[in-house]
Amino acid sequence: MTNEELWKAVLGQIELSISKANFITWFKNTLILNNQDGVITIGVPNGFAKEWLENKYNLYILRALKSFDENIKTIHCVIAPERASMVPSGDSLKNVDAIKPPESAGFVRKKLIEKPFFTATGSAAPAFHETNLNGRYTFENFIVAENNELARAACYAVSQNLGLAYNPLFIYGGVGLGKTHLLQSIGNEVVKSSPEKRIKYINSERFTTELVDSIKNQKVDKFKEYYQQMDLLIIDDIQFLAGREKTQNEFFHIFNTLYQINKQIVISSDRPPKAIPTLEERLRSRFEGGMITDISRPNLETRIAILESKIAERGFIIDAPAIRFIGEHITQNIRELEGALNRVIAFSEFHKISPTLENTEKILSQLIENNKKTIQVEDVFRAISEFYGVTKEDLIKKGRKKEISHPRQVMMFFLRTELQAPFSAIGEILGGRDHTTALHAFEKINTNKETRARLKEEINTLKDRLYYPA
Amino acid sequence: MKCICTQENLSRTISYLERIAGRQTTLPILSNFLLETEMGRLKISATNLEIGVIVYIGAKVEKEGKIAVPGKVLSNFIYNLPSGDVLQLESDKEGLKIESAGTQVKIKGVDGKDFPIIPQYKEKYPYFFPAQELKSALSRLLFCVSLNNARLELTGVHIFLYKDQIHLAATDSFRLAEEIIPLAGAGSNQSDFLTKNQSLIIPGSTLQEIIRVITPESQEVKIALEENQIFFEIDGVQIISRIINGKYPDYKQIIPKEFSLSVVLEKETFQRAVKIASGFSSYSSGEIVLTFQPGEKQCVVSSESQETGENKTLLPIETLKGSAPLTIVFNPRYVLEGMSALPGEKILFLANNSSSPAALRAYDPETAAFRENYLYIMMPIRK
Repeated sequence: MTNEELWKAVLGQIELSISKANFITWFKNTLILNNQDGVITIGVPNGFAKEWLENKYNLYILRALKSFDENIKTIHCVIAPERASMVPSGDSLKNVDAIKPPESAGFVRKKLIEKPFFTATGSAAPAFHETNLNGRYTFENFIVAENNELARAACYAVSQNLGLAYNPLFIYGGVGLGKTHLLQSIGNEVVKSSPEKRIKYINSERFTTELVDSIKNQKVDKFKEYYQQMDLLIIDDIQFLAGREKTQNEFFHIFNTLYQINKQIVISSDRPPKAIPTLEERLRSRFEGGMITDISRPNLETRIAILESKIAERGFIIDAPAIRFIGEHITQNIRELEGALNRVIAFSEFHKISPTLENTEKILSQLIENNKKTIQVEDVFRAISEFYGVTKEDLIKKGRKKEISHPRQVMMFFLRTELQAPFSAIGEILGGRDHTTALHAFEKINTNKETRARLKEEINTLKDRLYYPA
Repeated sequence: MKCICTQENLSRTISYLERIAGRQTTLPILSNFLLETEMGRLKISATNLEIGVIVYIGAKVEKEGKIAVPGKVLSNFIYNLPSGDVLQLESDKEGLKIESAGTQVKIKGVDGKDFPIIPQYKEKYPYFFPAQELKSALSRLLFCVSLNNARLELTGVHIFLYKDQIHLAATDSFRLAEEIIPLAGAGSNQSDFLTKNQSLIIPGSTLQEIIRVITPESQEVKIALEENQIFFEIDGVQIISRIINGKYPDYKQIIPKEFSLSVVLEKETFQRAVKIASGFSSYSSGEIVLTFQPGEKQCVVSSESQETGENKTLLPIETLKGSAPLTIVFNPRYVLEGMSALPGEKILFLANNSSSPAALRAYDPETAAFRENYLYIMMPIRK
């Protein structure tokens, strides 16, 4: 029996008596190096395995060995480098170029995407205590579009050069548009590139609570000291500091200390600093001293891109028209968009139906109904006249000039689609016209909007203004 | 086990262990910390079988014993206690009971016998390195370490002795950083350490932990070596790690001996220009173009992409060598990261042509010389 066969047989026995996880962890890459005078030398890959086999499993191993060879008395382990066959010999590696050009653009990109495996190995475990960061949010999975590209570029620049690029960086935008995602991405990027940096992500609510606690425990100094040694301080939803004088005061001092020694501060809010009521003047002016950038509502293309990426993430399949439908109807924010998508997916899985356009409409009908605020005829008048620069009277008057007739037709179209008004009533509203006129206008706009890009855009913008007046 | 210790000691300790005790799926016990009493002290350790960390803290031991408890649960509790609290720890078969002023927890744990034994270096550490120097050198190198396991030898920092100097290097095969530290004088044993181990590759992740443990007050890093593993001790914290087996590429040969172009740039303005350009280079390609025009004493940093537009920044340069204009394309990240590792206000940019490695060095305008101890090399993107 060769050493190799003997060890294989021994492993076979041991495998039966211990758990699989233990077996794989401790016996992987082991082998018998030497068998002489009843002393077996086992080669193990590392110090941990050596200690464990010698101290915990020596009896198992010895017993198994003895069943094959009575003469074996003792075993001991040595750390052996991985078997020679597994490591290419030094000479063949010698001429491999140490550095090579990052060849094509595509290659660099691939590298960036591959990076997340780094988080998975635990070096930057998701949401570990100290930084409050959630590893899920990275620049790689942030969808860039015109509504957020400036903000993203600013955040990326900040993450590459803490304290020197834009300090402080102030990002504002409505709920669910990705502020937190961007903020966390900065933190995660820094963790990745320079793990020795001290990073803290906190929302202003938590910050206040911690401050209150520290006052209670008479440890305000410690609290301050802790925050003043950060390399990167990220405060989310700063607007909640409004009206809290003591917190603002402490924050002001922390801010100043960090700012003076060029430590990076990143702040987010749902509105620009000017619009936060009861924010102290000195804080406001400091926020405005750095870079202020906003994230606006995503446009239709972006919403569809987001939906597509979310769908791909979940490995689900939804028809393109249905995706479009969701994107068209859920316009306010990305969180709601995700919610709607979840609803469609859950519903189709539960009822085992495929998410076609029809089904999607059905599933979301309630959501969309609730979402829409009721609009009145007057709202349509206002939107149309503002958009085209015509007066209400013009629309009602008899004139058939193109400047007037086009807005009028669009208005008829909206009255039909958004208010579901009968054609006869539409004619009535717009200066006692015949119901066939209204019918003609509706059909004209309805067919043309599919083919004419400009008209389509007009209609989308108008719809937006109708429901979310500036 | 029964002992008494302070919250401060415990929370400091935990911060060193936390990152090690990860979520290991094959062996659930690895997400635990092992607490045990040893010679009148409390010993806490964690490992992922690649790195092990052991910390001793002062404690009043009343009863010997050991227990393993989930790291997350313990750290969450300890961090949320006010500092200055005195904690009483007591273990039984099922878990660990901790009492502080007013708070009591019982953490479910497992028998310490099942926790992996972390190899320890029991003798006197033979080698010493100054902690602060090591830390600053490593922080200038670690960002270059490859994160890709495909070439294992590049996931570590390479160390070797070369003409009375210690040469440290890291590369991810697109750029390379090298730091040279002169050997410390007699008594430090540093030369023994390195001649014995001609060349050594220490995992980047281990060194990152080392950097974390070194505080501004740390004096020295003690090091010992055994077959395939390396032991560190800093301020009483012991870190044990494997060493990477393999042959580090012979990087010295790719460092150009001479450069035909050598210019001095203002670091801050150069940084700014590259950052602006990186904002315009489309995220996917990430390419910026540097055009050096020694005749006009300027450098043009530019980039363009279909999505974002284009930009151009003119920078004044001081030419030390070379007169022919040169256009060279880089990934802005590599340029920026290299620059931020350089101290001082001026940097030296060295290149030969648009397809061979270019170098960055710190430049001292007073002596009109570059600092020799640090070199950053990056490959241009081939067009």
